[in-house]
Amino acid sequence: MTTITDRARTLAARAPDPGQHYRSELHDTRIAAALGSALGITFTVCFATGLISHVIQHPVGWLTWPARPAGFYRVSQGVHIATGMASIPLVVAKLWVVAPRFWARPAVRSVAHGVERILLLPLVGGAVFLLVTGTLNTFKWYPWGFNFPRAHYWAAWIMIGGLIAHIGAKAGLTWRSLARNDPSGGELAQAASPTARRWFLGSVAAGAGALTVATVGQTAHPFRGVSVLAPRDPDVGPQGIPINRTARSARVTPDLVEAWTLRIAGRVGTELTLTLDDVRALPQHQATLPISCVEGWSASAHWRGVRLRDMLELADAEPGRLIFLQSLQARSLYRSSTVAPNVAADPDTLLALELNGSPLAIDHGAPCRLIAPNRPGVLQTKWVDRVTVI
Amino acid sequence: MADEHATVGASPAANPVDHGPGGWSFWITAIVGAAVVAFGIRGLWVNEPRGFTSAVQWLVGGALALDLLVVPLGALVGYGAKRLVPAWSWPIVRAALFVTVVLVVFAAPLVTHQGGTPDNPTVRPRDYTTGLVAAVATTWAVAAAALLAVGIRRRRPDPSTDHRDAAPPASERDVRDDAGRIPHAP
Repeated sequence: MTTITDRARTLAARAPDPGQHYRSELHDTRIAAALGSALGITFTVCFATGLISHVIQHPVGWLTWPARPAGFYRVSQGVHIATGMASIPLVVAKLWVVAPRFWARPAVRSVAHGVERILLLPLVGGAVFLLVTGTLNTFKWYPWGFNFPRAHYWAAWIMIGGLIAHIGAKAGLTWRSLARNDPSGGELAQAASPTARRWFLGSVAAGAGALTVATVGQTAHPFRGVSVLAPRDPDVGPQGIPINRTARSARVTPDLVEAWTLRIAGRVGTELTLTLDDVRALPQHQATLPISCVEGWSASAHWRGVRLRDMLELADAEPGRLIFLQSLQARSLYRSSTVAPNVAADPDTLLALELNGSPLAIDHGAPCRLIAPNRPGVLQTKWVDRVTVI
Repeated sequence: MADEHATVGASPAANPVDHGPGGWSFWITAIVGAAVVAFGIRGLWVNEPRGFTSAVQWLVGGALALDLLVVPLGALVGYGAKRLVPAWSWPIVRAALFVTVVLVVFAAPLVTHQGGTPDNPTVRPRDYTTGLVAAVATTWAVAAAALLAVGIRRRRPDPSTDHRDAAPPASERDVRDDAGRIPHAP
């Protein structure tokens, strides 16, 4: 008597195996090992730099994010985006090379093999999810029903879990294959000629390089001329600097700006309400700091305004406290931000009134915005009208 | 060495053996990895409940799209294109095709004006159609130069420059030549 399991086995054995039709020489274990190693590096870099960006925006008690070096975030987030974009051709090539394994028969050979395969779903699904959503976020295209920063962040954990398991499953094979001392030839059925292997790996590197050169000019200024596919140009915008949110979309009108005053309150000796002329009459300082967007573009600029620490001293603020900044902007996740004591004390942390030699344009946060070193653009609050010592 | 018995082109590996996963290091990383995956799924569920279904669709859809759409399409394009060009030129043509597809897919939303912020001209300020054409043209110019270089080398009768029969440099650890033969010691 045949059991259901036996019948299922017979059916499975009869089913066509699309994997056997992949006859390209590129289904070669050493190519897979090389691409896998490269992806292991790029995804780890992406995860680490992404985590840095997350921790700055969602501070944790045990870490004081330093104000120096001033351009660190610019580099780390630039690397995050550039590495992610460079990973796109790597992922496509890797999946192509190992495609016959997707159709492997029998589909599951042992408990361990089943576990390995199940954990490929979070790895591959997570990787594609992160690259697609991250790229489309830089294009400002959101054809989905989730909040981008939250879903991107949690998907990164899903992907990295899959990556940990995959490294554990494949590290030995990858090492043997790259060291060329695997007598079996590995898990894939083909063996590419050295020329084919070099040309293919070269073309993947060329694809990654082409995408990088075509986009990295949005943060690395010397490349801006050749970065023909960059979503931003660091020189294009009001006063020569790009913006992420216009005054219009933030519902900040010229009338609101006209009626602006700056209020300093909270744990202070003297509550202050200053007009624009009052703020202009205070000692002005200059700082050259980048605007570094989470979306990977950045641009350096010259800012002029009042040091936040001078302002706090003027109000006789309690030292060492968090500073809460609020904006004229209505209803937005980014209408306020918190400045840690170490950042508030930095001489380059300004309530800026001028950008590149002229008063702030309304889209850059006129009449007064925060600019501080080593901080993502979304936390450089624009249209600041309230400083609260908490 | 595995390659010693292999031949040119779509040649089988010597003796492909799937060791299969196992051992303590596999199980430790599998358990840690699964725990991290579970942490991520739980985080998504707790922090983004309204977008959870959509996010899961994109997660699973992304993996399936690669395996069931991108890879078979790539195979189809490769199968067709390979028959249109001489065999010696195929690795170069394939490389240029690959780079072209990467550039085109990346730039597609920019060129077709998907998304963007109409009130903010600093987002996507360039003419991306011109940019894409320039990038693809550059790719094929490089490929053409490589084809020319390899083509000229092939026509030269001098055996010392004919890579098809030449032994690879001694420094190369991979002793198999492109024809899949093991060169004899000089």
